[in-house]
Amino acid sequence: MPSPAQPPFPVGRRLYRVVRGVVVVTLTGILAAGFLGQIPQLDILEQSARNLYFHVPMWFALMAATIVSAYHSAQYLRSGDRIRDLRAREAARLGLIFGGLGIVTGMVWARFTWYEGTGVWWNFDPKQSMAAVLLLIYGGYFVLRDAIDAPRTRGRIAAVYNLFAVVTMPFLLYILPRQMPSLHPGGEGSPAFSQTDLAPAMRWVFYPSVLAFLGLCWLLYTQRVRLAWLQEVLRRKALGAAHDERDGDR
Amino acid sequence: MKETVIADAHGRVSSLLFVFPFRPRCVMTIHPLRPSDPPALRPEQERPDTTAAYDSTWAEQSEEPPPPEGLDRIMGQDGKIYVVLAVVLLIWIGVVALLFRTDRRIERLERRVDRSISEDE
Repeated sequence: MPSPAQPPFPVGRRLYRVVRGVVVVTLTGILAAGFLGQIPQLDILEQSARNLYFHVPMWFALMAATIVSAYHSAQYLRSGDRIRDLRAREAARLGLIFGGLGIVTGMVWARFTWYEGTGVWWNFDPKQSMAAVLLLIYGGYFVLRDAIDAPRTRGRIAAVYNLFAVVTMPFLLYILPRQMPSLHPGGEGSPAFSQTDLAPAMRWVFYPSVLAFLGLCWLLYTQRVRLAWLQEVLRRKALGAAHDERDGDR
Repeated sequence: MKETVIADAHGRVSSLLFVFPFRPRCVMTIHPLRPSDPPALRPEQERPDTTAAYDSTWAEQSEEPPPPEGLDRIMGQDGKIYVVLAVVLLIWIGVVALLFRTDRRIERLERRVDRSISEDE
């Protein structure tokens, strides 16, 4: 009886520790710089422009998570390795979490900035609505997973769904919202990375902030993958033990 | 696309995505709204004398309060933004502590599973 092979360990412990240290130090600095740094004085936005450092990285994290999730779904379809399916699931989960945080922070920002005094929490900004649609699509991924009991069937069907889901991401977050009037920048070109859109002093906080939140997303994702790996090892061990027992009975 | 934009009397343009048949509660603006001025108070509402006893400021306050010292002076600068920063940093410390604790627990479990597998082989 071939004993079920142990899946390879998901991540180098040293790499994980290094990223964790860098993320903790960088994000602490960003919190301080985000509050205390100089920003241009603009009408309407006023001090709320500092939200750029915290709201926008949520969406970078969402996009990275969806791409990672789709990558592992494709690898699952190629190899049938269950760890790939678990990685896809955990990446999609982190995408949902960061996307949800992005939606909520955006709502609060708009409510007290552009819609101050109106009581409008949800203003049907195209980007906001499309982001909500994207989160529903990824919510559907988990509903689909929970609806199928057989692991292999679940993995395959969920992986195919996930590949379709990721294709909608650039359209829902970039292409469609930029065709319509919106509070979000981007209708007139590429925001934030262009030469004139973002004050130089803010770049020194914004870009590291994006990287640091991507790192935080990766850390949380890796934690979940390590837990999923433990579960998988124990599952295979239990399967192996069951096989051994049956063989002994014969 | 521009021809379909219909602005109301305040220059607000309703969303192209969601056009409501009746009075829209949510409107999409191109020009952001400014907070409307508070409605003017009627003269009798302005400052009834009956509330004077509850005022927290005394008209005949003579001495200046002593300038804050030490930590109070630092934290009170720039509209007390440092207080907010302190709160956010405390929350962040809590989240980081949770991250590290969870890592430790996962590592302990991993070692246990590794050991039990090598014992089996």
